[in-house]
Amino acid sequence: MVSAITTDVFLATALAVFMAIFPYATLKPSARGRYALVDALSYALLIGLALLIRPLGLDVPQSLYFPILLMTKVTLFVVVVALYGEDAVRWSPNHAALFAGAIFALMVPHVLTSPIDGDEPFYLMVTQSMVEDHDLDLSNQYRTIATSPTRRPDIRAQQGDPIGPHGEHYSRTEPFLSILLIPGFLLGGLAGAVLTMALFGALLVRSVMSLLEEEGISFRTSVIAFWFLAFGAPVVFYSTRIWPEVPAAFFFVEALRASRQRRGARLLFSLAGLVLLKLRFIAVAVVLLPLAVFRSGVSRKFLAASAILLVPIVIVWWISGSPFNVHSLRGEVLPAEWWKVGRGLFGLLLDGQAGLMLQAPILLLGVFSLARWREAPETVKLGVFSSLLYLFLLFPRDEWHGGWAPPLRYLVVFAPVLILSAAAAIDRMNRFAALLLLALWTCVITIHGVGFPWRLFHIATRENFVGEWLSLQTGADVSRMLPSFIRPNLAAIVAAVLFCVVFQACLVLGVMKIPRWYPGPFAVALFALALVLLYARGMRPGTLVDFEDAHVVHSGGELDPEQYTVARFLYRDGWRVRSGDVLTFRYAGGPSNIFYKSSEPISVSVDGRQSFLPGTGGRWRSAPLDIPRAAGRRELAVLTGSAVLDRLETR
Amino acid sequence: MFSSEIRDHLAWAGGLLASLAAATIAVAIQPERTPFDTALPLLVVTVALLGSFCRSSPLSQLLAAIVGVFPVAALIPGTTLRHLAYGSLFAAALVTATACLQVRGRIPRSAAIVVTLGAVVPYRLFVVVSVTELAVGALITASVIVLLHFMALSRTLRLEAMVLAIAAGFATPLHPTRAALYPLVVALLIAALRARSLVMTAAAVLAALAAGKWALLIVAVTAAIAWFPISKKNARSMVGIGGGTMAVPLSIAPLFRSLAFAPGTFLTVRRSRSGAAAAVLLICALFVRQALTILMALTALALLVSEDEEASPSMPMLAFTILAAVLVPWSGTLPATWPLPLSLIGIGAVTVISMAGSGRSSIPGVLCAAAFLVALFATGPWRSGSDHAVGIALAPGQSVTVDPERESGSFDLLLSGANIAALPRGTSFASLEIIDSVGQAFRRDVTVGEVTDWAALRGDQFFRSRNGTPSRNAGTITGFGSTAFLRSSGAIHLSLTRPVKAISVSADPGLPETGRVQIEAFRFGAW
Repeated sequence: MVSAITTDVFLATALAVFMAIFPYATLKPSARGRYALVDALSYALLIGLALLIRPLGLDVPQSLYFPILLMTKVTLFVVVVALYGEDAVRWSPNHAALFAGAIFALMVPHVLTSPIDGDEPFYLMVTQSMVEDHDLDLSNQYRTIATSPTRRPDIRAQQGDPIGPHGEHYSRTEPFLSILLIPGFLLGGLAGAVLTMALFGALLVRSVMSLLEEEGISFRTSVIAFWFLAFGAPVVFYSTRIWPEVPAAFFFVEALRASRQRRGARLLFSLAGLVLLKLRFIAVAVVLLPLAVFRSGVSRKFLAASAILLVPIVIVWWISGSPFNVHSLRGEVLPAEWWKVGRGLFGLLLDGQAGLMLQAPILLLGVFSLARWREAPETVKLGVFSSLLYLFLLFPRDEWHGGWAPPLRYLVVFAPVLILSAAAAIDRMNRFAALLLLALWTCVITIHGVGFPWRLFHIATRENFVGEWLSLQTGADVSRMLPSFIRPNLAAIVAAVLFCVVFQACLVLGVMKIPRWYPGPFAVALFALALVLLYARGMRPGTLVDFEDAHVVHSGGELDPEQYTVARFLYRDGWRVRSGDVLTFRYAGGPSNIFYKSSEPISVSVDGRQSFLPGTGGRWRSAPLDIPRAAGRRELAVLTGSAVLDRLETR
Repeated sequence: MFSSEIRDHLAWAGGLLASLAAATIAVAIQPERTPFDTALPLLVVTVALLGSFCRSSPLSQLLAAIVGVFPVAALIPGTTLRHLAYGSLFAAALVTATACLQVRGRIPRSAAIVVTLGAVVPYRLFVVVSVTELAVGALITASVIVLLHFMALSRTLRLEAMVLAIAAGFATPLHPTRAALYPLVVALLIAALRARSLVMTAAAVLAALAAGKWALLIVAVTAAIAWFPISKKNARSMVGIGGGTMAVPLSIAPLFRSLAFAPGTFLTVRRSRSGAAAAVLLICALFVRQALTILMALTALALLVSEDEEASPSMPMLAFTILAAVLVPWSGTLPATWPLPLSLIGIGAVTVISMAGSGRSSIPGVLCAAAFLVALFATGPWRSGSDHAVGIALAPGQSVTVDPERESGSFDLLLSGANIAALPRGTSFASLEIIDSVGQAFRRDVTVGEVTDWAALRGDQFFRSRNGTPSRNAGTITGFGSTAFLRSSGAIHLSLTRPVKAISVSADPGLPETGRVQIEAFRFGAW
């Protein structure tokens, strides 16, 4: 903890030094004075607020101080650049990349105060293996895991990882990202590897800014879009994490730009990079290449050269013994259950935990902007078409929300397209108050994610951090008011219907070319009213209690399966209880069913009424429970036996 | 179907209704409702009304957003955080409205009245405990409008003048009732100085007679200078001498150094009679009891600002100022840190910052702002520690021995008085005999000032209290808004090399018959 605080103090100093140099070097002399005032005031205000935290009795974790400082300073500078305009500031894609890259680099030590997670250690171990053993076999790395540069001594080979003919342990991850990490790893180990990712983050920013410029987006809007892209989810999180998504986004944007500029060689190079990073991106490449040839006018000779895209497949085949690595073609291409397509689609858009609506609302604006298809920039159209196949294959997968990864993992690569679409909408709308609200929320998400890096790896429930916090504070299941497609609920259906209605309305208005009028005050107030009504409803006892949720007060027991179970999203989760454990919660009551699994009969009491639940042989079953309707909190006590309790639901 | 203007009207009306409904519901479901929560729907209406005045500006979108977001703030669990959210949002609304309504650094009088009412009315009228206080609050509000009227030149005001009017609206005490005329007295003084009008001077004297002797002092000083037959040259000399006198004590504190030599228009000698009167009032403010200090200082600043015809170029400073000023009453931020009811020092500091921020350079203002915030941190009663309650009251001449029950030689003894508000600072209050672990005894006398009446800082006592303020105040905040006060408690710091075994506390026999020495607690680990 002391080390984390020391790191943050050092980083805050480094940030202050950087922000005392870069903005003044970028701003022209006429604007420096005004910026100096804003700069000094922001420091005064931040210091004042920090000093007031204690007297106000507020409980603000110290790990949030640096992210708050970072976002305040960065945002102020970007606002100044946007307001002063191009006459008062030297601002180009290179400046944007330099600025974003420096900020990402500053975030790296802070992020590394918590261990790397998900696929990250495996990417790094492959890099280490290539550097030290000159092979891809991770057996050595697993043997010496206690001293591994991953700082994760608990890492083991995952079930289903490819095994070589002589017992070699390969990683299921594609090796190209690990190759890219080699220079950084050689220079600085784990930190160097993560800094390499920050470099790719900066390259992505540069590409997107160039794209915005090429598409004729106004200076002010492009600066706003820069802020949302670089310092909002998901790019900001993946720019300081070892995942292939940010480099992939960079290659994707470069491929789109190459298509627009009819530069075939560059297009092929970019697509090869994209597919090498993750085989799954071949679904993007096989659509984009023909589009580039037949729609954008890239020379047809490059269609023949597209055989280069087979190289990654050959490499994967060589390593894993299968052209599709650990995945099966049938499982990847044909959805087992078609309803999951809708769940994945709306989940990625609207899920209260992992969807665009919560994590990156600016990208949702980009989605809505697609309703005005005819006015959309050509690159957006190209990007959307080329992502459709990939997304269609993604939706039905159970891990559409990214699994054990920072949010919106699978959409990072398309974030630039959605940002461009959103930028076009911002240019059209000119509603800065709405933007302000989006920016405030984006700030909250970023500060939370940077402040608590480990919370980016949230287990897939229906709860997000706001819902959890409110549930803990109020003891009520406020989270159930959030649309969840992970554990589908009524709010999810309502949200999906509303989305369709609004999108359809935008579409009709766009097609009929009806001049738009935004009832700003009314719309905002109506939104607030809806939030308040949802909250009021959430404060009332519900008819469903998931026993592992934050609003349930657990006196004993533990999460099941445990938090770090591999591919946990494949399991049905619950709360493991034993004799003597007590759970309290708000519940409406009435004739109910309790869902549980146990290998033996158990006896429970709910509000003092004793009930016996038969053993289920370790399978999920339900049993009736008659619970009287009453106000106040309910108490479920386990008298004898042990079980995993899933949920309690009125019949 | 409708014109754009009508649609805008309808959108605002719809927004107001929806927001009002949201606020009402949000308050109704709030389990721990405070007076601020109850006042929320009125606050929403206030902000919406402010927005309706700014509809033609692009910034009105921001006000619309604030109107919409306000009810959501009521859902925040935790009183402090919720109040802070109210205060911040309300401050943002006022700053936005000011930015909308100002024209090149000056604000039209009518617009200034709108913004000032927006700031003062919620504070004075929304959180009240009695009809009398409501009436007094209304009187103060009306007086503030008169003040704005007379501060305007060519129907416009400097932004700082508006800030001063808001500060006067906050700082005017509810008790005694007749002090509510304070803004009116200042308004009449300004009119008298500006026009050198006998009628106005007479009116000011009459208003001061009604307000109290302290107001008469202010009027007497100002009127004497207004009618004193001095040449402009002499006036400059007077202001120079006054300024020099002020500079000596002010320069002791680096905090105020930048203020005293601010290169802006503040404290320049151009303002002849107003400047002279202001200088004299500022000097007087150093010597009067603390309740009057802020009123005299505000009067001096009002005299200076009302003479100035320049525009205010420092919008960011104004934004900061109003932000801080509105945070004072609504969030409980300053009451929690400054040992005065209604945070008078806070209001004064904020006002001074605003003045220092005017003129060509904003640097002094920024420095003052930073110093102000650091001072917030460095002072105040929140040096919390682990308390061990005692709870004994001693009549005059009585004594008792208390045991700290902890092996420590360094801690605070929290004392307060009862029925001693009239005693002047420095009066003997109690004596302590401290016995350490080897039996060695030490004596420590405690005077009024180190310890005050527990209610000396309450609104109805503060104006008359002569106790001063404890330098180490360990009180707790009670009440909300304009009725909030610090339940005063002096922390006597003891620092011995050996652990303290017992302390004998003796109440001074010279205390009034009903006076009491209250031993409240031992506080360990405070800093």
